[in-house]
Amino acid sequence: MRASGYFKTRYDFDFGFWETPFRRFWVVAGLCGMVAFPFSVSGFWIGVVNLAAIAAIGALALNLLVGYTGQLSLGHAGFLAAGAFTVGILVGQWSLPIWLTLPAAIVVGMALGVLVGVPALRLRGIYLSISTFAAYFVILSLVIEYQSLFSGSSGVLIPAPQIGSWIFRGERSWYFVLMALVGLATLLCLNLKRSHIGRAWLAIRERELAASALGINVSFYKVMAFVISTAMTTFAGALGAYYAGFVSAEAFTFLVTVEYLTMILIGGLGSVLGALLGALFVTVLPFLVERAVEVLPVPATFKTHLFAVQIGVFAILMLGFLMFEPRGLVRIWGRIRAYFELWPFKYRPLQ
Amino acid sequence: MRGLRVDNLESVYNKAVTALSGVSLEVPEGRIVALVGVNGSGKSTTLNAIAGLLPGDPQAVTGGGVWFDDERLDGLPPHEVVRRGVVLVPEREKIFETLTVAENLQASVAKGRDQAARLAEVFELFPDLVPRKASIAGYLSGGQRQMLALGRALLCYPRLLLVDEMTLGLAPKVIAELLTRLVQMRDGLGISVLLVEQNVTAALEVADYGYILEKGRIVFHGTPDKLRSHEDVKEFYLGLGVAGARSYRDVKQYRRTRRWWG
Repeated sequence: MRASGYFKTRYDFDFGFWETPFRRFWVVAGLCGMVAFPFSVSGFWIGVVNLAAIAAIGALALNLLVGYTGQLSLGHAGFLAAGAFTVGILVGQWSLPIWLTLPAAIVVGMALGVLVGVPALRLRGIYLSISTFAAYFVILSLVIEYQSLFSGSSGVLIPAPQIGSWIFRGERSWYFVLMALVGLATLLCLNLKRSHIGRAWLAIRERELAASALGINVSFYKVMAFVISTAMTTFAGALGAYYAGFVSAEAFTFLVTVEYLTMILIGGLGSVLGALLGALFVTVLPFLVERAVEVLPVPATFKTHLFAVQIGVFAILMLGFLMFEPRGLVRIWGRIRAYFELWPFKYRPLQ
Repeated sequence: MRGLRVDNLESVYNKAVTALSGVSLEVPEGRIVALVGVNGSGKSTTLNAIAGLLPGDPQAVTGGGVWFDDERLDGLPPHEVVRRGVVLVPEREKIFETLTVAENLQASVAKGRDQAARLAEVFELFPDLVPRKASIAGYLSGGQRQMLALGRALLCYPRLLLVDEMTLGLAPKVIAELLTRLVQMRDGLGISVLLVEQNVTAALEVADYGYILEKGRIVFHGTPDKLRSHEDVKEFYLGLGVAGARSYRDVKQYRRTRRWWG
């Protein structure tokens, strides 16, 4: 056997962040790729990746709640709508600048988190999902009401945001802003996971009884998960509103919730990398399907019913992941990595 | 008094079933105390009541009280009980099966305490866990799971461990090792233990004092020697029948004496 591997010589190393040279290498390589990306592809694909970046923040937020804490929420589209409409209302009514509207969206998210999180203390499993689903409908009916009263039926237009004299315009400048924000959100999630908060969340997800026997204040940490998650979600919703340039209640159907749940499922529940990969995958997929339908020799009805084809492919992939790799893309990546790490052996040697 | 004092504890399930009717016991500091009894006698209920895990509805503490270092524990939420140094090692559902061993150990929230140093102590006490640090806890054997649960409880900085059915389903050799570890914890770290057991022989080997619980009542207590030499304990808990096979008459006689104790 080769004498290779990463040996930890002190118990503190278990708490480390950059655990291995392997990780450090991939972080640096990823950063270089991210900087090079917008200069090597067309504006269309930068736009797709921008959408994926916004989705990634939302998926990371949902992952905190569903993946880490194990509280299944079906209200995600509602929280995104709340964030988007916070921006819509503040910009549409008072033309407030972005550095006020984004924090306002976060505050709205935190308040919603408390509102939804406190009932969650007494509800588990399917009952909790139903209560978050109800929250989605409450939020949605509020924003529909706002839209029909104040802004006609089409939605609220939002001009390009401006900080000082710098206007966010064009895919490339958005790309760098969004990448920085995704980076911050990723760091936040990673650090939450390795802090006592993340450990408490994982313990609650696994076994609530054992968690409380370890001195974890189960109710406090559950509400905290809801607050942080919904605040991040409304932030993503607000960014999406600015990026799209308008907000409309029709954009936040229940399908959006399903898409976000699919992102974290396909990516791998409870994994930060999984949420990022899943967001990218689910966002890019419809565009790839569109290209494929154009290029491949398929019946003409596929082109006229493109949306149906996209949804169909999406459903088949989701079923496939649930059946064949429930632990998602992260697990597939882990298997590939293990193959090369262990080569030429097939299994890890017994200790 | 330093240590745990349970005074006349009563508990009723669902306002109908009496689980504990007046349990009183003491765990002085630095002692291992065994609480033994058959299934359904109320051992686990006693532990849950001390740990604050009887939620009030449908299970509730209806009378009596629990004191630790003369501070009242009953009525406190479970995490506050842990903060005061009383930590439960549950019977089932004790480890987080999909997390790794290291993650399991780090799960406890001990703010402002030197977790790394304590981890080193835990690994010293349970060297079996060291090579399995990165493996999934669900793959551990029964004995290793128990070690993990004890080690994780140690990371909460306990002064009193409430250990529920530690030896359930384990091989005699593993049981002996776990019991030695409990003694080491008592001697090395000064942790007192309330040991709930069905395996009376094993429990009395390490305990400094023993209580026998039946139908929610303490029917008998004393030092291990005293318990071991008692005829009825021999007959019904240690399986050393003096009269050979148990007959109906024996049982009747046993019930009569028990009534007399209770």
